[in-house]
Amino acid sequence: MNLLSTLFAGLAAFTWGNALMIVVGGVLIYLAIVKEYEPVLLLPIGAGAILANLPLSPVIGEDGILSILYKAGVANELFPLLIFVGIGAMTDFGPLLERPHMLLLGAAGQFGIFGTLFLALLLGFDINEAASIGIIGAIDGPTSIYVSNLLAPHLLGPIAVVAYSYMSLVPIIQPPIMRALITKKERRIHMPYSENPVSRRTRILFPILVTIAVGLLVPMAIPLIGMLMLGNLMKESGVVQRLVGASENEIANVVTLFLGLAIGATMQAQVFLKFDTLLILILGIFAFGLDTAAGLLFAKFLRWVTRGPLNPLIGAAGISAFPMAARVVQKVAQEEDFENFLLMHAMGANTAGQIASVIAGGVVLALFAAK
Amino acid sequence: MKRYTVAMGDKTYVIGLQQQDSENHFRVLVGGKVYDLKIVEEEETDMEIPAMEIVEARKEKPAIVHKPPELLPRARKSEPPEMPASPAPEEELPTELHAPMPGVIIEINASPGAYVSRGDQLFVLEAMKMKNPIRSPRDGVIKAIHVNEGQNVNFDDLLLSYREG
Repeated sequence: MNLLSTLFAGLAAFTWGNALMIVVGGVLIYLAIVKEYEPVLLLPIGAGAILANLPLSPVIGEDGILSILYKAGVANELFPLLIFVGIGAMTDFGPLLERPHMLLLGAAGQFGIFGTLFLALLLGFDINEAASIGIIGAIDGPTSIYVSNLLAPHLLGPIAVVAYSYMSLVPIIQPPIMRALITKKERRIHMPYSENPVSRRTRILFPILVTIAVGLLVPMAIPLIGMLMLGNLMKESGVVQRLVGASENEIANVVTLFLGLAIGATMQAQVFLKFDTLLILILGIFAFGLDTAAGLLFAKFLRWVTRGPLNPLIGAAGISAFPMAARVVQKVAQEEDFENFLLMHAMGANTAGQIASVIAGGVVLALFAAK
Repeated sequence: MKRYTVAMGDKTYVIGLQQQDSENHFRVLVGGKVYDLKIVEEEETDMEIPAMEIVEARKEKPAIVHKPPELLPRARKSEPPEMPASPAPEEELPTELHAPMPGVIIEINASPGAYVSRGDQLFVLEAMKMKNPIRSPRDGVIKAIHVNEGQNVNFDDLLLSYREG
């Protein structure tokens, strides 16, 4: 009898919560494999969630692999920052440098952060929790992880999962809002492709100057913007291809795997299965919608002010989800007119959104991290 | 059915032509109306059409002789006369297609000599890791394709030209 109970200890400790979380992990894996929603992240997260919810699982605990990964790279913010080096190495700020005014759209795309923050406060989250939930509106996985881990580590799991899942849903969430707010006629506006080649010197100076400027203004953003721009500086310098290759491939891939597993490990039933998670799920989609709407309306406003050929659709690209948001803009514009190519303009707004979301993350930290 | 895009002066017409039982018998679709067309007589002459009225036809293959319509026993004038305008674009048709943005041509879906309609996909241009279909801005016959698969293109590079028109 004793032997039996030892053998089946796992089964005995199995709870409904665990079962549910294993199903959630399965859903994430399903989304990754069948729907290809951010598979490189959702698959490890799903696997991590399953591993962490098997009862008595040695992956969690002092020497458990997931706990080690969590402590090594999530608790101390290392992994998201390393990923930022890779993102920087992959990002071409050219489309933005050719159209610097797109920065404004990137700023507008962050509106959801603050809107969601207030709504979360109203719903009874404390200020740090609300700020962490708001940061989902940055629509940037690593930034969300970075900020929420500093402000409200107990919400990290839900926030990361929501941020990444919705990010992959950008092509589904955004188009209805775009069609609702931007008239058919506006969607047909062509934007002339302005080719003002950006000099190599500008491309190299840009990451350095942005780091210094942002760093001086928002010190809390230095780790994020610094790593992002370091990656970009390496790419634009053209002299350290090996480092660039490592950053955007080996390092980014390995860290993504570790990060995904560690995030999955935070999804233990007792932590994850709370009413708060459901609220975060709802607030997250609200944040995405608000970002999109704010960007679109601001672009409309810009068009009205400048009277220039500006297709307000590109306002939807002023978020960090790169390059999905820009692609969505291109797709929605082409539904109306297949000869309309907004992609490069949207890319400009999109990279602006990346920079702006990092800055916004720093601002949120500066405002709320005061212990 | 063969489809021709015919530019007459500054107007463009789309004409469908389908050979019937005999070699000289066609069914013609012009502006939504169907005409029966028989070539009653065909001969080479020394006469020339005065230069003024620019008339031309483009076809997929130089296969069938293309001659005027029924009813009028008129002599030569290579094209159908005034005909109901098909709802074709009035603006000047572009003769060339240029790259709308920088990228890589990863697919070519057309070949020289082929007839394409407005909206037909001609290329896939990959830009910023997104595959963008490049569609034909007009009906017409492709004269030449100026890029190869896998080729990098810059903004405004010539991709394709249409036959005269």
